[in-house]
Amino acid sequence: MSDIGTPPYVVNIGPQHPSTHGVFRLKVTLDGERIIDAEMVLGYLHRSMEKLAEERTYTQNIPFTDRMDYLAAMTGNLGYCLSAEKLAGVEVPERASYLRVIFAELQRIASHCMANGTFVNDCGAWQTPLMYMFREREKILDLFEMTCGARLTTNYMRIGGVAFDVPDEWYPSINKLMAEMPDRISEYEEMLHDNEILLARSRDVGVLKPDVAINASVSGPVLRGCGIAWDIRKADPYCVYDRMDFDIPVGHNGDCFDRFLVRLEEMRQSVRIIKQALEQLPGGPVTTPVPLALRPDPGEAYVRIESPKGELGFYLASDGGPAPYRWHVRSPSFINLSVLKELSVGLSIADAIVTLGSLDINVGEIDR
Amino acid sequence: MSTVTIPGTQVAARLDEAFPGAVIEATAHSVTVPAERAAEVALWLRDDEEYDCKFLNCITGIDWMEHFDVVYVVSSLAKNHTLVFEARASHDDPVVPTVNTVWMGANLQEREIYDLMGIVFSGHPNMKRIFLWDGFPGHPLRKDFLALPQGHKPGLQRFPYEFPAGERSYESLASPEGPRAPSVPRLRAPLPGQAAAQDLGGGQLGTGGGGSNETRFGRFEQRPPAPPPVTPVEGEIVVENVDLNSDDEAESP
Repeated sequence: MSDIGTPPYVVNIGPQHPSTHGVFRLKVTLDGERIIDAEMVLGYLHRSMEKLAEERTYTQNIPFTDRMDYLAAMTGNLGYCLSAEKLAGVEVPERASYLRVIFAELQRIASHCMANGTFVNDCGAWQTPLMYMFREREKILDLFEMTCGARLTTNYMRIGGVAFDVPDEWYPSINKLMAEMPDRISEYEEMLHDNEILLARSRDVGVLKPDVAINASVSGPVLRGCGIAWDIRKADPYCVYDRMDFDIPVGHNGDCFDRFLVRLEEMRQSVRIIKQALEQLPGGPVTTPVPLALRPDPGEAYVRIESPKGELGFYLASDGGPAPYRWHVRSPSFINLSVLKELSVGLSIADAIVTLGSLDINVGEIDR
Repeated sequence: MSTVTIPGTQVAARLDEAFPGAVIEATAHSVTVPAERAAEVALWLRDDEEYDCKFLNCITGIDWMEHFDVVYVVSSLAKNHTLVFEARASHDDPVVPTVNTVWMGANLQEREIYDLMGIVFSGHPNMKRIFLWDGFPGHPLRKDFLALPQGHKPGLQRFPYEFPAGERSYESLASPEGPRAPSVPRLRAPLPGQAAAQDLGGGQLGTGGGGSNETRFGRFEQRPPAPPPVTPVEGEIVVENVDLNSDDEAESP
């Protein structure tokens, strides 16, 4: 039977399909049921932010970063503001640094809730785990709304600090959430860790080798899932991460299930960081006065942070003018896709969908 | 504990031993080599024991008008250090050898640079556009792509007190009768079939001048004769400044 061949045929997935996580199109070539080639078609969400940014001031560019990774706007804000601050040599008040860490970690929990929820969706445990995780995500978004008025496109960080201090009613809310969050994460784990659906679909599927991962510039939970303990918060601490005590979870096999577990454990570590930051939170101002039209000296700077998706970098070049001469975003979702073809070849379409889900891409950030 | 940034001057000293005469420029931020040597320098940085740059953080291109710089930010996860090197390509014919064989992660990023900046990476297995469609005219991230008249920058005029009068392009685009609203630049990218629509409607799309709706109700016949349209040429983009306050564009059926 094995010498009966089938002619290869092409199946189009997306661009508008729930399992492609946004407007993302994948053309797979099949031999029988196995994928022999995968080609992605990008650009459906391309807004050319890098070009737009060249005609706006440094401050006016902050809202663009909300709209890149719209599931993690806070970390987008943070990375961009850090890069502009490095270029212009702006010092940030200590309270602002702590608030940045708290909000970035809240955002990481919210983003990982979304990533894991939709990943389990892709595996076939339809909607129920997602709704559990959305319950906590909603509370985090309420905290954002309380502080800056927006749930998703927060536009909260500023060059030189943050836009607003937190209101008084914010403290009891976050303390309550942080008190119950470890139980909630345990609840997810009980529900999913030994879940037959999840194990059967994601274990030993989409295995990424560590050397391939490094060679392909993969970062974030996908890199840690294959056993490399690389986290920019530890390796190159920004804000006040050097004062926090937390661990870097790593996987062993590099399969989809390990990436899921790494994200789950990272949520726990984020709760740890937020609790410490709340204890240490100093008083004082939350922003330093910076001219509306900031004019950094000519020069270039690359700043990277650990966003929920991976290494989010901003390459800024200034010619001394009020707008960036060049603004490049190193988006983790985009570069993590480098391995998609390697991971998908040999799998069936159903497994390729699970693999794509485990990479946790965000098309707003891929296309920019 | 934090990542060590190796200054470009220090890299330049070692690089000069390995590749005599390859260093064009060395600053604290980066070291610059000619475009054609980018791939061999990249391979050397990856395999050198001291630098061990196994991880490519990002590649990007910068249009400096006289030349292009392709910027490579690379780092070593084991030694926790990072460095920046740049490949300088000519503006007329920017070709840089691909580093796709050195770092697999360069594949998509080089396609992005080709798409948006127009730098060709020779030896790349799939040198196609990635975000824009095939046949898109030009490369948007080049500084001369669609430069607005008089160096107009739409975002900057929001800060009238931050900019001296000469730097603001506000007045030059508003109507002389008194600016009530700033004018809007209009972008016309002619599409196949648009010429026919313009002949019927007599107006331009999107600026209140009447479009296909007009023709549907037969009202186009009552309109004054349209000014001769700029003949759309496929593959060419025309920028016009439309003054919203002047009467000749206003709707008066």
